[in-house]
Amino acid sequence: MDTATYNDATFDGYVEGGHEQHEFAAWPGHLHAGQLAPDIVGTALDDGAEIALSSIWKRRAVVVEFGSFT
Amino acid sequence: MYTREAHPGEHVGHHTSFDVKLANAALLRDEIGIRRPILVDDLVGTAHRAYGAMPNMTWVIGRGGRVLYRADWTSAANVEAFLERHERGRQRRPPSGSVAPYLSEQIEYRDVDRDAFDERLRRNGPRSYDEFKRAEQLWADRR
Repeated sequence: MDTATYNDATFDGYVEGGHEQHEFAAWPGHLHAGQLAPDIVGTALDDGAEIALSSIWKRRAVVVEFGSFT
Repeated sequence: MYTREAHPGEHVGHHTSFDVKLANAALLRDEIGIRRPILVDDLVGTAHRAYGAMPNMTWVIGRGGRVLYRADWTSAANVEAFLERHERGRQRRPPSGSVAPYLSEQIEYRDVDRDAFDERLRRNGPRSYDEFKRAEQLWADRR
């Protein structure tokens, strides 16, 4: 997926183009409780360090909330 | 995990570079006063999409990396209740001597504050509000 496709420039375009329907339709079949979580990496906002989620869950459970301004 | 701006506007726009994404994440942290550690996803949403790409989802992952909880919307009260219930259940020792995990699935309810949501849309910019209104019309036309 490219940058422009993931980061829709307009919300009504995201809806009108069917991107929203596609993403929401896929959710019920996605990763479920009981399965192994995919390891992911994020950039720590405070210091720019690259943090793998597995580096946290190998020590303790972790709660991950995904979000933005809205 | 900071993802993408679902409702971009004139003031908080969509991400066109990683520097823009970092700046928007810092703005969110400072305006809302978030004290939890924030990780920023890459520009194409690799982490977000790996977990299903829902806009406000929450996951609990147990020690060792197994998914314990998934929700397509975030309710802090629900997550807290789950964590307490899960830990209590895991440590319980019934007369039989052992416990076993099982899967469950529920429909939950969350608060909807449309005024607050509209305010956040306007914070992103006037076109963010206008585009959401148009999206609502598109949803209505599909029904």
